[in-house]
Amino acid sequence: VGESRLNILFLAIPLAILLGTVFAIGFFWAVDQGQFDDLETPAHRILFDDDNNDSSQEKI
Amino acid sequence: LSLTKVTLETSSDSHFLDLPVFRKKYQKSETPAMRFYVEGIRCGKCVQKIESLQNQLSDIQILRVNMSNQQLYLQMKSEKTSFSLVVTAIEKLGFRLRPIENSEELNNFVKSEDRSDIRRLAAAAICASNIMMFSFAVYLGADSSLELFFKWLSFSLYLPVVTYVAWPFYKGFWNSLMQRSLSIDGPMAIASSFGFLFSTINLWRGVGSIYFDSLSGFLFLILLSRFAQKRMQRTFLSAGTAAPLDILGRARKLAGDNFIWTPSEILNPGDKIQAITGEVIPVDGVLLSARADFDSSYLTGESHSIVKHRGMPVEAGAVLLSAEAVIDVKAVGLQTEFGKLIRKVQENSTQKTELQNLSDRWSQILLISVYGLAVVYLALNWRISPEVSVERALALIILACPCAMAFGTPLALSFSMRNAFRKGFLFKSGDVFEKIQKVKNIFFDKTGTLTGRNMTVVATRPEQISAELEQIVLSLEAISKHPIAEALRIYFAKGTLQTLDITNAMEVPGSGLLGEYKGRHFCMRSSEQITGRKSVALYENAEPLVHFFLQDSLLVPSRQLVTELVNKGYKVSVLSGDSENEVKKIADALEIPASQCFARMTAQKKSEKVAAVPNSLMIGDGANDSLAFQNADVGIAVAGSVELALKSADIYLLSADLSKIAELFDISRRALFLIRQNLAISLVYNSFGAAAALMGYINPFVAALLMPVSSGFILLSSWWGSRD
Repeated sequence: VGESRLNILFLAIPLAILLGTVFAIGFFWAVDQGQFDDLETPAHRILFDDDNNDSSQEKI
Repeated sequence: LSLTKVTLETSSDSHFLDLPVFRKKYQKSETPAMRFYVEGIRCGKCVQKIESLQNQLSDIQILRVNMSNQQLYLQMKSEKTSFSLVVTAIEKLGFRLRPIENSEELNNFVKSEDRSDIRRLAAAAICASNIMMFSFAVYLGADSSLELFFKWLSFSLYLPVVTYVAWPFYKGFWNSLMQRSLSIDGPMAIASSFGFLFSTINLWRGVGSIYFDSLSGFLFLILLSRFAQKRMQRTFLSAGTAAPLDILGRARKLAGDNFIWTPSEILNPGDKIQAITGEVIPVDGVLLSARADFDSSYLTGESHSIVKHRGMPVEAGAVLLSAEAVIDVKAVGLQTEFGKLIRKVQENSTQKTELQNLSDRWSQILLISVYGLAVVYLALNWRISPEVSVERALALIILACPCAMAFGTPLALSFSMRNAFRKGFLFKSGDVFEKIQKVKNIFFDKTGTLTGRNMTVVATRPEQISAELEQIVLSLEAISKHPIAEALRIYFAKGTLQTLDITNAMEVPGSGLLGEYKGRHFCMRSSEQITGRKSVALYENAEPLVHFFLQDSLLVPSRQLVTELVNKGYKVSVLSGDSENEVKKIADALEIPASQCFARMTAQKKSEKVAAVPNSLMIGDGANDSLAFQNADVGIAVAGSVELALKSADIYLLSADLSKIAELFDISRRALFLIRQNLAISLVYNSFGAAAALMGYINPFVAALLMPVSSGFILLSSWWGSRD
């Protein structure tokens, strides 16, 4: 029983790390796209009555 | 009172945005887009107001406001559409915009710094949390094969930490070593790299403890607190307060019979510009129109108007007093005499910031003693047990590193600066607080600081004036915007007088006013030669009928302030570009001994005077005081452009009330107390921590966990100490 439990750990942990790496790369990509350049305005923008600006994203 | 206000109000036209030469300089490469600093954004409502313009104006492609850097991004649908239309609409909403020069390099630099901060923080969080998970499994008793597997996993997860995450610490440490000093990055760099070496050796040998978990957690916490501090500073001292205001902003460039508002930076020598009453001349040039009056007090400190004839040179920074003038541009921007003065001030100001402040000195001492203690401890205990001694020395360095100190002082400073800002003082840097406490000699500039730029009528000769003469005087002066005309209008404001029909009325710049009434020839001009005082008189056929005696108006708060400062034991002096007579009057009014009042001072003489005494404070306005600001230990600018003033002065007074300056001493005393309190807290915490670490009560992991506790104390103390 101990053997099989060990085996699944050796598979699960690298998988978890792989998954973590994928998320990290995704996050880095988002930073590069400028998702985190403005950490303040979006919090206010969500309270606007009419959502007229959601199609335009500043991409510089 | 303030020259900038005049320029900005009269120049709200923004058609220049559509000029090809301007677009070329400011527009981003291909797309028709520009960036602006926005002044006046307070909340989400403001953002919504601006961004909703997108629905009303169909030319706009993208209109986005970024609150964290107070910038606005505007992209139009095509190259042909007009930027100025949108900008005017936004300015009508009550926000002020200033285009940001298309400097890709600078923008990218700031942006990439922000982004790499976030990336590092994320990398540290991911690695630290995973390492923590594996080491808890080991602490809780994973079996031996798994234990080794987990430890090697921690090792590999720590690799990005020791290289990528900790990189800024190595860089900072190296830079500080190059400058032969120790920085706060030192302990972090040493802990990260030596901890890694020590743990890897232990892992290789299979004995002893490893610290990948505590080190990565520790680095994450430090990065987090730095990130928070950076953002807090940016919010408190945001671009809104430091947004560049340019006194030599825009000019009416003549093109045929029309003019177009043009930023002075894209004017060229040979262009012709037009100015009207009250405007600041933005260029060095030659007067093309007939004679005109200028007020150069901003440059020379003299409060008298200066007459220029056709063909005479006009300097940038002078204010036009006559109705209109046309000027042939010779030099613009930094090429002007005014610009050269600014550049000189800028060059000098870099030397000033090299002064080390209080907390730097304290943390230097603490760092040296911590390193010393760690080395001594290592040397003494190496023989007994290398592992234990390394472990404890490492815990000592982590725990006793003056992070709380490095964090506490900037925090106290930014809290205090925010506090001062609310009370009407804009501080250039935090080390001014310390310098203010040492001030003993206070120098005042006269014109524009102690006195207003206006004049008042103090007496007349004869004392009683007939109503008819009053009416004639006022009617003659009605066409003039000269300060003397204003003074007379204020003097006669009591009665309601009707303007008479003056025929052939005209203003002769620098001389006076002419006019005919019922066939009688009248003239208003200076009568200084007759009276021996500053005065004007109404003449009929070269015969003076009535004299008006004038004086620079002393601002009421100045007397309060000077009295208060003298009572507190400061030595107060007055420096002025005016004549002995004028200065003496002010000195008498302020009850300052004549020996401490200096007349006919040029900018150079002023700065020499200020530099000659230690612990000096210079209070003034205008460009002619900027050299004195620099040579003084502390310079306070009370008017003029913020950006310009803060290049040479340390503090800018935001309110028009001069008497507030007395509060400054109290504010800085409280700020210094707060800094010392924070230093004391971290010092006590560090000493107890160091003792506990050396005795072995605290391992590096616990040390890293205790870090935020001390930061919390510092935060609490800063908040408590700076509350109103």
